[in-house]
Amino acid sequence: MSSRLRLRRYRSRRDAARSVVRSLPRGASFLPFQRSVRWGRGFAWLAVVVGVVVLQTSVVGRLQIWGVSPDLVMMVVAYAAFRLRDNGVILLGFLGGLLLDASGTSVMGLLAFAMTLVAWGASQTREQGGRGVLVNALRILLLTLAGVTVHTVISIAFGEWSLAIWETMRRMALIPVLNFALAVVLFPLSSRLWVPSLK
Amino acid sequence: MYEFRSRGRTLALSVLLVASLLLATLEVRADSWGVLRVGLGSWLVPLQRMAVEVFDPLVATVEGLAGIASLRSENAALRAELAETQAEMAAVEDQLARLDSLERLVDLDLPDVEQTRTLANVVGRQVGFEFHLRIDKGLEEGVVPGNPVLDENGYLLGRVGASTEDFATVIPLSADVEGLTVLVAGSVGVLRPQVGSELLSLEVVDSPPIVAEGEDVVTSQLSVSFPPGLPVGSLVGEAQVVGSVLRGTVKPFSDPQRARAVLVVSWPPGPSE
Repeated sequence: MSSRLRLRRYRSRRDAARSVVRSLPRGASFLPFQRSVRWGRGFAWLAVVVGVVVLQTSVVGRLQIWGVSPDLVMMVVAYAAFRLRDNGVILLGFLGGLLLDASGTSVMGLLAFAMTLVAWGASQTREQGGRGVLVNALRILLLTLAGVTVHTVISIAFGEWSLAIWETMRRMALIPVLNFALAVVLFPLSSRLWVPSLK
Repeated sequence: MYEFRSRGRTLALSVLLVASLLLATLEVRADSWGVLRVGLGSWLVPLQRMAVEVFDPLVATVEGLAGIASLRSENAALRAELAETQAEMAAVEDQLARLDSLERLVDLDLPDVEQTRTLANVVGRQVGFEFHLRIDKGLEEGVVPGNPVLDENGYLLGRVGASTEDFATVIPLSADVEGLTVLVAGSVGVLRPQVGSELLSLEVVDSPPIVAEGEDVVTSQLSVSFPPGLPVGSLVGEAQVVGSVLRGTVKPFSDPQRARAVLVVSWPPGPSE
């Protein structure tokens, strides 16, 4: 590597680091990531997740279509990825899953595990969320499918899954479809959350 | 900078996944670990109660709408079930009617001669150029071609046309091309079917009697195919005398369309009878 190229790369990294540090509010650095933590926005999303968990466990669970309900918490986590950075989304997914675990009777931590992975997937696919209604709905469908599958597998691993195989397959097939339909309906609202190039 | 972010994201993801598994393991292995669930759950309960209070009317409305849909489908299912039950009832009624016919056939008193009787169920009807009935008794039960067949009231229905080991066909009077020798008002005549009609044509050649409408027609002692005295039908309308021939129309007493069970009589009786 030539010295000129090395110098150019160093300068670009330096400038990028300076721009990040310059954009930080006072006292908001979060080492070692050197990224600003937007606590207000994070807590707002956490409040939304708490509200959705409450709705999911008290209201939405009663509105069943073909015996299953849409998973609103997964959708909120997927939408939160539009505005929160990676670690915030992952933490939000973990907390949402933990709250769902606490409000149910299954083993604590299983839904948290699945939701953390869903949140990570949502953060990785946030750019696709703004590419149109079908792409976003497909993103939601795949994230939900992954979440339900992971939860099913880990529940079986922890000996908590007591449903019959066809019931399991039905849940794994229908919940993503319901979330897909809901994502199509909610796209006019969710598209307002999406901002390009959050990184 | 990007590496830092990537590492941080991986680190956070790993920590949270491990924490989740740790929580699950501790809950499974340590019974007292449920305090976290109780704490979080008790904190959520008031919020859930409030949500139920607020959204209950909405949920009730949606459940009501869904209930209407389910009621419709349930109604359709009940209608199908009702139709099935009605079909079963009709089948049972048919069986009861058949049983009643068989009981009446068993108790039937035939005039004069003791014949071998065979009860048979009507198991089919052939509607085509030649109408006939199919019964479930055949040669094995002694049903042979030419045997007279009576209905549940003892009225002459027809004769056995063909017989196999297991079943036989019955040719009703209205479809039998062979004439039937009958007795009407003391005179012997011949009954023949009319094409396309349930009625029979009567011809009395020898000394035409004076007959009135409703005069009964029975089988004659001159008949070789049927026992004498079996009721066949009654005269319909006024009979006409043309030359030395009395011509009239007879309506058979029996209705082959309604027959469920029949009595096959062996005729002429064998030497042992």
